[in-house]
This record gives sequence, C-alpha cells and structure tokens, in this order.
Amino acid sequence: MLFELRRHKTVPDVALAVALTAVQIASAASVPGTGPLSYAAIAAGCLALAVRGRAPVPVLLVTTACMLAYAVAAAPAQQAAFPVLIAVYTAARHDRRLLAAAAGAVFLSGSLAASLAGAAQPTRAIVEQTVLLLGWFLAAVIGGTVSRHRAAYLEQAEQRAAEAERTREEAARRRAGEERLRIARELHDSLTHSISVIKVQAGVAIHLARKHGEEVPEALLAIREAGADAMRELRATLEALRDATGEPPGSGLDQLDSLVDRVRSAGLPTTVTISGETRRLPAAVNRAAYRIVQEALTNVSRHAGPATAAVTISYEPQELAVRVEDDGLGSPLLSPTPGNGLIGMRERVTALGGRLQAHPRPQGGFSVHAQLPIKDLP
Amino acid sequence: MIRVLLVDDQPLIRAGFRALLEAEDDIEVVGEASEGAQGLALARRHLPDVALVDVQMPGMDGIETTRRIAGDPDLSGVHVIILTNYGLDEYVYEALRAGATGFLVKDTDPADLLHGIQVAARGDALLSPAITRRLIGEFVARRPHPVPAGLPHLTDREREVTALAAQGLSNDEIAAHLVISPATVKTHVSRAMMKVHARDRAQLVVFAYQSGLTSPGG
Repeated sequence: MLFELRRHKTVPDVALAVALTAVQIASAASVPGTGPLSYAAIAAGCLALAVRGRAPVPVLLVTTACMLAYAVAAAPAQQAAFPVLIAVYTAARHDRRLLAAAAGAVFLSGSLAASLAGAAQPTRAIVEQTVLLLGWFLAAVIGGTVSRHRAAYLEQAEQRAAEAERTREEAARRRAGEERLRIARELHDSLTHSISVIKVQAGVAIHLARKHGEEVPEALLAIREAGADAMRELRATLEALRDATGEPPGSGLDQLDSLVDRVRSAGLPTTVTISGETRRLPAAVNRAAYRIVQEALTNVSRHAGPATAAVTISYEPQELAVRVEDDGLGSPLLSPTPGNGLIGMRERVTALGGRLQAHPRPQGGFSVHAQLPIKDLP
Repeated sequence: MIRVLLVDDQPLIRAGFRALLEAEDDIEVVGEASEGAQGLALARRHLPDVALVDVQMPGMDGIETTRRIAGDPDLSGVHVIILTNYGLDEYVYEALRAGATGFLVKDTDPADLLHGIQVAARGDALLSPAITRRLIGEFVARRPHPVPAGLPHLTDREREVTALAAQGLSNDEIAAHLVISPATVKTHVSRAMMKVHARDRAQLVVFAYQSGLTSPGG
C-alpha cells in the first residue's frame, strides 16, 4: 500500500496548493491587520501542500504553524483553517492520526485563544465557529483514515490477484513438465527394450564365439558398440528431460551470488553470510536451499516495502540452516497469504525431512528459517 | 549343476540368455516364462536354484513375482535375480525389499552375468555389493520407512556382523575385520537373517539400513 501512496499524483497537489494560495491571499486582503508577514505565512502554509503526498508530516507541521501564525496575527474568519484541514486529512491518510488530531487541536485552540483575546466578535459567536470547525477537523481525520484503509484494501486485492495469477502459471508449467517427463519415460521404456535385445544378443554371440575359440566377426563387435552408444545417449537424453521438467540445471547455492546480485540491482539491499564448514551438498538439498532463498527474497521485494534483507547459510554438522530475514513491513496485514511460495517451500523442505518456520519478526520484518538435514554423501 | 529359470517377456532376451547359459557346463536352463504367473508356476514345478526375473513385464510384474516366490516356504531355495534395463532405480529397490537376492542390468557383460548367477546360487554374498549398498542407502534415506521389528532380538555380535554385511563386506572380510573365523561369521549372519526374517543377504542389508543399524553415510 505504501507503493500506492508513493505514487500519489503530484501535479494535482501542486495545482491545489497554488489555487489555495491565490484564494487565501485574495481573501486576506479584506482581513484587517494583514501584514507582509501574514502574506508570507499564507504563502508558505499553502504552498507546502504541494508536497503533501511525499512528506505528509513536515507539511502538516509547516502548514499548521504558518496558518496559526496568520490566524493569531490577523484574526481572519474560518478560511485560515482550510489548508490545515487538508494537511490533517493527508496526515491521517498516511496513518498519522494522532499527530493529525494534535495539529488540529493546536490550531483550533490557538486561534480560539487569539480570537477571544482580540474580542472583535462576541464570545458566543467565536465559540460557535470553533465548534463548527472542530466538526470539520474530525471529518478530515476520519476521512483520511477511511481513505487509507480503502487504499490498503485495494492494494491487497491487487496483490492477491497477482499471486493467484502466478500460482496458475506455476501449475501450468508443472503440468507441461510432467507431460514432458511422461513422454520421455515412454520413449525410454520402449527404446531401451529394443536396444537391450540388440546388446544382449550381440554380447552373447561374441561371448560364445570367444568361448568356442572362433574369430568374432567385426560386424558383431560394431553392433554391440552401437548398442552401447545408443543406450548411453538415451540415458543422457532422459536425464536432460528430467532436469528440464523440475529445475533449471545448476540452480543451487553456487548460483547464490548471481541471485543476490539480481535482487540487489532490483533495489533490495541484501547481505549474505555463510558460516560453518562449507561442503558439497546432496543435490536435492542444494536446490532446495537455493529455491528457499529465491522465494524468500522474492517475497521480501514484493511485500516488505523499503527494507534490507539478510541471507544466512549455516553449514552445521547434521544440517544446513537457511535463514532469510528482512526489516520491512512484517505486519499482520501482510501476514503470509497462501500462494506466495511458502507452501511450495514448506513442501520441499518437508520432503527432505527438514523444518520450515516463517513468521513476522517481533522487531518488525519477516523471517524464513529452514533446517535441511544433510547426511554425508554416500 | 545350477538350475536356472528365465522369466522375461521378450523372447529374444530369453533366447540370448538361454544360449549363453546352455553353453556353460555347470548351468542348466530348466524353463522359460514370458510373465510372472507362468514363472511362478514353473518355479513351483522345477524348484530352480536361480530365477532370472525381468522387473517390468505385462501381467504379473517382476516385483510381485519376487514377492510371491520369497513368500512361498516351498520355494525357499529359489534365489531371485532381478533383471533390469536401467540399473539403479525404484523398481530394483522394491524388488530387493520384496526378497530378491540381487539385480543385474541386462546388458551386463556375459562373463559378469554368469558370475552373478553363481554367486546368487550360493546365496551367501551380495551381487555387486557396492551398488546394492548405495542403492539401498539412497532409497532408505529418501523415504522414511517404518522401522522393522527384530533389532532388539539381535545379539551385539549379530548386530556388528549385520552392520558390516550392510557395508558390502563378504563373510571372509567380516571375519578378518572382527578377527574371528569365517564359519563363525556365517553362523552369526544366518542367525541374524533368521531373526529378522531375511531370506537373503540383500534383505539383511535392507534391514540394516531401515533399522538405523547402518546409515547411508557409514
């Protein structure tokens, strides 16, 4: 949702700020006691709203302070409150409700005190106006909050849709892979049967000829060699197909550096720590470890907002521990939804007899921790 | 004389093996079957020493055939060698669990094939010990199996001997390792096999891995 807010259209904000400045200055002309300082305060307070999307809190402070200064110095009617209302609304929309309410309260009480001290109007009318403004400020805070929740909801719905799409694509890829493997198996089965016959017959004929002290015909030797070649090639082809279905060849921890480089260049600062005595891993564990890091980093860049990630690979005597942590937005609102790779990770880890823990960290951010048992390679 | 039964759905493979085996003085082919049920019937009729059984056949496949032969008390003298096109795979592992003595790849060099048949007929050693051990270790590591009963009944010496057999050592090698006589090793191995209901050394190895007596690494 932060992405959504960051994409705030700045052009309408600029237009709004300029128009508001013009209106305020025009109306200030009819307010008694408006000096050059008041004009400066109006201009600063209104123009600050141009960047309200990017810096809601500083804008709130500047606008409130300037407009309050104007209200105290020149005693305008309610119109001085409008820029403050907008700043309050914006701050509430950026989840700064308390600050927004506090700014509103300071502005209202400040201008109330100034009006009462100036006593240009009857007390009763001043209080009535202030109560009316109080209602407007409440509306601004509530409006900002509602708008924030709606944006968050839309963002989440969008994310869910994207995840669903991704899951569907993965399923389609897996199905295609399974089909390819099935064809490969069928080919392999039927061809190996025939080639076996050739090899057995040739081998037996050669064996018997030698046993009987006869000369082995060259043709027979050639047939046996060709049979052996065909078998080897068939096996290699099947292996290649089998690899192509599941994993791209060579997706293992040896590819970790280039993975992390890609993630870094995509804007996620990432550190890698490898501890323990590194050694050759069983292929399945190696691939799983790589996939876990890949999935976890993908999730961080998708969900964590501005964050840094830390990848830790520990070679322990009995297991490989893979930990990916970030300091982003690991909040309940963004708790892991099915489909963002966690299920796949868990299946993979469980199949290898390991454990996977994935949860928001107490100090913020998210943590994925996998323990993969490794035995010495047979 | 080693009496051999051939069970394979490909007539040309059977013909090749028959020609090879008949040329040996000490081997006799007592029957040929093209699928498992027929093979089982011939095994009961001829009581061969060795049955060469193709792992993949239409009808009753090699694994089921092995299971039936191994489960039949009348056929306790029949040693099943599984024939495979591929070498190491899941089928072979299943066949070893089902009670096969060992396995041979069909295009093995004929001399090795003959040697394998002789080893199997004696029934006291593993066919290709290193490969069998690796195969079993690999599959046991990959898939959790219920721990078979029987471990508590083994004496310490029997466990020791079983663990060494699972590493692919022959009786003589185990004897040298433990500094006891080969005859004593043979007695321990036989007792261990009896206690864990292994009909062959290969099943003892399967047991050793599944019970955790031996791990794939060691």
